[in-house]
Amino acid sequence: MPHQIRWNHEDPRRTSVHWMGSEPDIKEERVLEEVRRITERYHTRDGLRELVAEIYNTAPYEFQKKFREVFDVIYEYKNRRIEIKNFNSDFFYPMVERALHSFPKDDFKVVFKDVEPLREAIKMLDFKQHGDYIIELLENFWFYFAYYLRVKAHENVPRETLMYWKSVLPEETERYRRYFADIMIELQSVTGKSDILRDIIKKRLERREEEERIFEEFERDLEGLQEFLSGYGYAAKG
Amino acid sequence: MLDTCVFDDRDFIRRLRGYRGKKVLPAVAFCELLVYLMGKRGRTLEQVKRYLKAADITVEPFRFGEAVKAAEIGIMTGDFKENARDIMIASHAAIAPWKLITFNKKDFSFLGDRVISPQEFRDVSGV
Repeated sequence: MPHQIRWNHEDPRRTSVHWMGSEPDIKEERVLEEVRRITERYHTRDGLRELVAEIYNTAPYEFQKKFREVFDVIYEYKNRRIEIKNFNSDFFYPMVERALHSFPKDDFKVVFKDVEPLREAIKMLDFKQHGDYIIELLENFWFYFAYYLRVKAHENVPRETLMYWKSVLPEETERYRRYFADIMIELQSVTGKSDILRDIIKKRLERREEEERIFEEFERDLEGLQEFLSGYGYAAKG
Repeated sequence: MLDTCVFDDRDFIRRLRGYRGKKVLPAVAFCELLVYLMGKRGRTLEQVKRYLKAADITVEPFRFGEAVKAAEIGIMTGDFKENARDIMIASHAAIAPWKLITFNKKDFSFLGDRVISPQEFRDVSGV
């Protein structure tokens, strides 16, 4: 990659790329031609899939490729582009199982602790009945894993951004575990039958009680906040 | 992304607990909340942090990107002197995907459709 290209990941939600140097010796028409070639090739739904597949071919972990295949299948199944008999038991769960089996546990020890509960939940739930929950669970696990992955596998990321990424890991772990436990509670008529999940549900319910107590205490304290702010140059609530 | 004033609405904050998306409090709004809860209500920093944790709300630091965005907004509106804190809070929501939830929409009109009221948030999120 030319050394004049500077990547800025300072804003976690947006990456900017700058050319730092004299004007490159390339004709504008040549750049536009390349943009046209790329957009023509990838602008369709299948083209986008091809592009994602190409990107995943260079993914550092086998797990990423296998997990993406799970998403491909469930989105296709959900949109009924494919019809499979005994989808859950014969196809879907074994596929998830294979993907989770390839999880890089040595490189992601914290996230690995959450693999078994996820596997158990997917095993207990039926795609026909709980398809939306399953998709949500898998997507959230994927995002959670991605917070750790970006710290491990990255290119051209400034040290400051890396420090920020590392600093949010504990809170993202907690957020994911809270989310997962809340879903297990919502589905506890099914998930409560599993020893692993029952334990997660029990701990979360205890934690919720504690949260409720904290909330009640603060509700009293927060009364009058708006008035206080208005004294500091804020308009009162209209 | 929450403005400080929404914490005065207990019904909204309670409902917000049921929202599974990310809930963020800008560092400047966190500072305002601390001034009130520690200065006026005698709470400790640890207690306020526990409260935010119970509400699943994370504090978003004011970083390089926000500083630049706040400067851009301040220059555009020309009232940084009067509204520095609002502008610094708004700078977090000026970039997608976040939106600012506040009772004082008119004070953040420069954010366009990136600012919504708690009621509008309820309508779109279903909480």
